[in-house]
Parts: sequence; structure tokens; C-alpha cells
Amino acid sequence: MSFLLEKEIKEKLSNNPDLISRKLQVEAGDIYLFFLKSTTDKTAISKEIIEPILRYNGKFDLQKLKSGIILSSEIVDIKKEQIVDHILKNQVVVAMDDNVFAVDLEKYPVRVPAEPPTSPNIYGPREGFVESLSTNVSLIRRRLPTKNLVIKNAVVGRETNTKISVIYLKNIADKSIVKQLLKKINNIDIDGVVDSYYIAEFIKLRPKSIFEQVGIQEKPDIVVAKVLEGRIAILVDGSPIVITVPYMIFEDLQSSNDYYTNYIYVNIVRIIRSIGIILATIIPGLYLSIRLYSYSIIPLNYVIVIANSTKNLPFTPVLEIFFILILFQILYEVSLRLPQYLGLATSIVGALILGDTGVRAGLISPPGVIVVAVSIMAIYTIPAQASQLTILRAIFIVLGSTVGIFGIVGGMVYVINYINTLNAYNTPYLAPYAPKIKEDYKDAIFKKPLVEMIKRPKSIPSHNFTRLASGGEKNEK
Amino acid sequence: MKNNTISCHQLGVIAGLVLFTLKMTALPSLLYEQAGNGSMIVVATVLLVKCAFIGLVIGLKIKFKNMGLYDIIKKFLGSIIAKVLYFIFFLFFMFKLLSMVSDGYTFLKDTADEEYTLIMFFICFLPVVTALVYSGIRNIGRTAEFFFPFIVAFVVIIVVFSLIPLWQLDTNIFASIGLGRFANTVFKVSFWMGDLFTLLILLDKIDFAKKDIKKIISPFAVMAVLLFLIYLIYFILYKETSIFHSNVICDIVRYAISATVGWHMDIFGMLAYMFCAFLQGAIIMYCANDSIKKVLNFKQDTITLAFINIVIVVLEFFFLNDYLKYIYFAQNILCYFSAVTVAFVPILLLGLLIFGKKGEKNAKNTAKT
Repeated sequence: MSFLLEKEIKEKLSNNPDLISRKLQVEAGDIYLFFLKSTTDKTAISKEIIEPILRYNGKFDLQKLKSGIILSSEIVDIKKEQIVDHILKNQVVVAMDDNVFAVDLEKYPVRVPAEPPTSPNIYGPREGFVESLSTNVSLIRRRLPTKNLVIKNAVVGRETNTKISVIYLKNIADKSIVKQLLKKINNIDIDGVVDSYYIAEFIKLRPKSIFEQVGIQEKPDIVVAKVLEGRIAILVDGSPIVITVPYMIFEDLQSSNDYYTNYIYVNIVRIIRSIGIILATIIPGLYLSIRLYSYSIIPLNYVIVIANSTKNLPFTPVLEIFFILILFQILYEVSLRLPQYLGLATSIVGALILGDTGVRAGLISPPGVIVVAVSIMAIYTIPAQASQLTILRAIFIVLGSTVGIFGIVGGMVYVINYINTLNAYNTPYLAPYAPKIKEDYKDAIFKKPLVEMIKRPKSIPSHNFTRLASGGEKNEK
Repeated sequence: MKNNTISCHQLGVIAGLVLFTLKMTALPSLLYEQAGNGSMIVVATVLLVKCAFIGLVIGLKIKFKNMGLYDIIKKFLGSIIAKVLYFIFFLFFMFKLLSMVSDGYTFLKDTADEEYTLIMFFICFLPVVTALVYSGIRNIGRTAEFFFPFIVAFVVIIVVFSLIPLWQLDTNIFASIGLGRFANTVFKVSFWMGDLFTLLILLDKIDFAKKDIKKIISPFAVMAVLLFLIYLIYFILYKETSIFHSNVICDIVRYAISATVGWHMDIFGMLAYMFCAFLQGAIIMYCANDSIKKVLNFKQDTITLAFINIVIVVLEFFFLNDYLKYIYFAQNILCYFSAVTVAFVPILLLGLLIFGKKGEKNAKNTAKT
């Protein structure tokens, strides 16, 4: 191993200053170490490689170096032409004579697993995924210490070389879906993957659809529960979001809290969430259609109240609703991007002062504000569907204001029919309601107690539907 | 799951919806005009015949496995007769679709807004219905299955609230009816009675298993019972004035609320009818499209669907835009025409079911939509 090799490696890595090459002179010759100081554990390199080598007094040979001197647990033999790849994989490359091997001493700043802000829990585990793939895999592995757990790795991204892990249970997950998914992931040819959403875009079967076709999770307990149902999890290095497939729309009605709380209460909450979807999407359009076309279907006293509060407004009813919606949306965007304390203040100023002043100034009407506020609040009963519901709400406003209630009903029929065409990975999107799969009613809008969930969901293709063996209790002999 | 098939439950839902939709507008008043207080006897008899029709569909499915109606007719009567009959079916479904459009438009004018225009109706109805048909029968079945519980819930609310004022009314609306008058009534309203014929067109699209027969019958039975109750309530509420109403589902709830809860509940009737209208429209258009494709040996949907849309718009705008004119046309001309689908073909199929040889089509050749 010569100075020439060291020069070649440095050139290949653009002479970046974080590449460290260290020459150790020992009795048998020179030993070279190559590593990136930004992504490796320098203390461990000193303690596990350099110190043992320098302190060793016996005869040096390659085998002795790997098995008796270096203290690290992960050592892999590599070829000379692979040196740069392994340095970029955050490994320490050790070269002696013409022999090269890599030692895994990867280390970079990693967040400690904490409760994700989008899925807070009252009961149940509070751990959330972080940006490190190995940490995320360990969070799942800890909960699934079974020989049936399969972890398939892939690398995607020409520049980012992002590590991806596909996780499933081989005795439960459908093999054809696993195969289809792995094929799709291995066929991705992109310059870089910076988040799991990039992968989600590629594995969707209808990428242009407004509806999500993959599940997005931030908590290991949820991912494990989904893997146990026969789904497949995709973990991407650098992202705390784990993708699960196959995905059904009613998954978003379920929260992790539901599985750690009394099931009767869960049923009530899920009904409220379902009503939330309807309110979020339909209410503004329905209000407009009633106000513009079908006022005869509401009682006369309400018609009078609405008429009184909307007279002398400068905007048409449609413009008024869009005006309030845009105001609310601006407030939402502002509160998202400002620091928390400022965001809260802005929300109060916007919602209370602007809304109240707008009504008093005669720019907007109280019914309009109430309708839009209810719709916006209702969206966040299912935060995962917020973007889709926002788009649908705008569509239903247009339909309600142009064709009336008939337009809204037509829109609903069309949307449900469209959703029915999303049949990704052999799983009906609206299951278990369309098609009706009675066995899966146990955990959809309504939920049964865990002891009654004898079978896994039939909607998800699987090899093994039995969940509670022997009715959930071991036979005492 | 197969791409272009429907499950037994979806078939039952479709049967329930097609049984219900077109009978919720003007039919009860036309019935009363013809049969007077004997209308309920006619309704009950017709419903029994329809139950028997479901039995015929199940029987055909068991005997001829995955054969479609076209294959059955072709096998026993030859391809020319099959094509002629399918052309008649196509015309029947086109008139049904026109009837759906006329009914729906009149319903909207009556319930939603008097100033509702035909263009407004068309720009919503036809694109949605065409999109449903284009997406295939599996998706129509699933969409119908999804909305079915909501439709049932809306109708049950209407029925429950409408039953409240009945105790104080004279419920004596049952009267016997002579055979001649009965036959004349059924003949005059036969165009409105032939909806279940659509199930025969869907014969080869049914993913059938004998154990699932209950799944076909239960949704159909629910809708049949609700239909019977609505007619019963309607005739009790309106008696001799029954002939003046063209929108039964909302009119019974209008009467009931003024007598009981004092709150507007038209919305339930409107929603139930509107959902049914879109789904029924899609099923009828699907059958019309399937029929014309069989006649012309077409594989693509685009041209046939465009043709159907154009014909509907032209006929509705220029010829049949007056609802009363349409009812007169249906009662006096289409009734002869619908005799083929309501009587001739079912009787023919009953004969084949009893006397014909069992048949099965190669699975690879099942119809593709």
C-alpha cells in the first residue's frame, strides 16, 4: 500500500477535508486507515483500532490483525476498488500490504427517540422513529424478536446512496406483494432520496391521484401492529417516517390510542372522526347550495336568520366562503411556520380579532365564519388526510355553488367511485365497506375488543389469517 | 378478486336500488289513476313477481354457470335473434335512461330549486354516470355497496317519521281489483316495472356461489319492504289525491312533518333519491352500453358511451323535455315495447331454465368490460 493509493482515494473523494488517512508504522510494515471524520466514531477508532495496533508487540499478519488485535465486532473483507464505496458507507477502511478490510464504526448526530408531535399518546408507548435507519430497525426488532421477521436492504439514489430497509413477517405477508414492492424499489433511478416520501411517490400505483396510497407512520408500535396484520414496512435512512403497504383509507380513522383504550369509547371517537370527514369536506359546499338554491329545505326561522346576517355583504356567497377559507388557510400557514409562541399569538389575532372585526365591518357573515371554522377544525380529526380533504372541500364548494345539492351528491358518488378504482397491491381501498368484508368490521369504523379479533384483516392479502390461536388462550394441560 | 365481476351482495344491492329508484316519483300516482284503491294489491303482486324474478336470476346462474344472457340466447335461439333482442334491450335501456333523466330533473325542480335548468342537471348527471360506467361494473357495484346503508338509513328515517301521523288517519285503502283492471294497470305501468331486467344483463358478471344466495336476497328484501311501506303510507296519506303527486318520497315526509315533528326533513328524501338516481343511472347506462357493444361487436367503451350521451342529450332537449308528454309516451307506447323485457324474455328464460340443457362457458372467454 503506497502513497499513490492514498492520493488516488483523496482525489476520488474530491480532496474533501473530512477524509482522514492515517498511517501506522508497525514492525511488519505500514498500516493505513481511511475514514470520514464527520460520520465515524473517532473515539472508537482510537480505542478499538489504533491503540490495540500500537500496543501490540507480537508478529503482525492480516488474520491476527482482524481476529486478535482490532476490537470492533463488524469487520468485512473488501477489494481495493471498493475502498471509496466503503469509506462513503461511513466505515473505517484498514489497508495492510495488498489486503483491505472495512470496520463499521459509523457515528453521526442522532436524535433520541421521542414522542412524535403528530401522534401524541395518552396511554401506550411514546417512542417515535428518528432519522437513523439502524435506530429505527432496532425499535422494530425489539418488538418483533422472531425468526419470521425479514429485513431486506436496498440502496437508492445515485448521489445520496440512501439505505432502505423493507421489513415484513415471512409467515404472514403476501409474497407477491413483497416481490412487487422490492422490484419497484430496486427499479428506482433517482439522484437522491432525502425522505421516505420520495420512495412513497415511486411505490404508489397511481402517482397522480390526490389520495394517499401508502400508510405513513411515526411510531414503532403502530408499524409493528401493521406488520403483524400482514403489511410491509419501508424504512428510509434519514427519515423518521415509515411507509406501510398495502394501505386502506379507513386506517386513518384509527389512532394508536384506540388500541390502548376502552373499545366502547373508541367506537364513539371513531364515529366522531367519520363525522369530521363529512363536515370537513361537505359543509361549506352544502351551506352554499342551500343558501343559493335549496333554502326551502331548512326551517323558515333559520332562513330568516341567515338572510338577516348575510344582507348587505359586499361579496357573493361563493366569494365570501372562499375569502374566509383563504384567510383561515393563511393563518394556518403562518402558525405552522412561526415559532410556537408567535404562532399561538397570530392564531388568536387572526381567528378572534380578524373574524370578529370582519363580521362587524360587514365583510363576512357569522354563518359563513361558523361554517368555514367547523370545516377547518373537522379536518384535523384526521390529520393524515388533511391535504386530500382540503382539495375535496374546494371541489365540493364549486359543485355546491354551481349545481346545488345534486352536484354535491354527484361529486360524492364520483369520488367514492374513483376511490374504488384505487386498488393498490390487491387491497380494496375502501375495504371493508366496499367491497363488503364483514369479517373486517371488527376494526374499521367500529372496533371490537382485542379478544374478539380472532382473524387478521381479510382485506389485506396474507398467508396466515389466524391471529388468536386456540381462541386467544393457551390450552392448560 | 376479478376485475369485472360483482359479488352476490353487490348484486343484491343493485337489485334493491333498481327496484326502488324509478318508483319513487310519479309511479304511485299513475298506479292510483289506473287501479284506485286496488293499487296496493297491484304493488304487492308486482313485488312478489319481482321476488320470483330474483329466483329466476339465481336459477339461471346455477344452471348456466358463467354464461351471460347473450350466450344463453345465442346458444338456444341463434346469434341473429340474440342480436335483435339485444338491440331491443338497448332501446329499452335508452328509454329507461331518458326516463331517469326526466324523473331526476323533475324531482330536482320540485324539491331543490324551481329555476333548476336541464343544462345544470346534465352537466352533473351525465359526466358522473359516464365515469361510473367507464370505471367498470366492479366499481359501480362497490360504489353502490358503499352508499347502500346510507340510502337505507335515509329511507328508514322517512318511513319512521311518516308512520307517526297514520294512526289518526283512515287506513282502509285496500280494495279488491278485477283481473281485467289489474292486467290493464300492470300493462300501463309496465315500463316502470321492468327495472330488474338489468340483472339479466349482468348475469355473466356475477361472482356467484350457492352459499351466497342469502347475500343477494337480503338487500333486495330490505328495499322491497321499504318500497311497500312507502306506497302504503303514501296511499293512506293522500288517498284520492294520490293522482296529483309526482314526487312520492318527499311528499310523504312533507305531510308527516307538518303533522308531527314540525321540522323540514325533505333533505333525507332528496339525498336518498339523488344517490339512487346516480347509481341507477350508471347501472342503466352500463346495460345500454353492454347491449349496443354486443350488437355491434365493439370492445371499446369510448365510442358507445359518447354515442349514448349524445342521443340522451338530443332526445331530452328536443323531443322529450316535457315530463307529462314523457309519461304519456311511456304509458301508451313504451308499454308495448317493455312487454319484451318485462314478459317475453323472462318467460323465455324460465322455459330455458326448466327445459334447456345445462351450459358453461370457457372461463377464459368471460365477458370483459
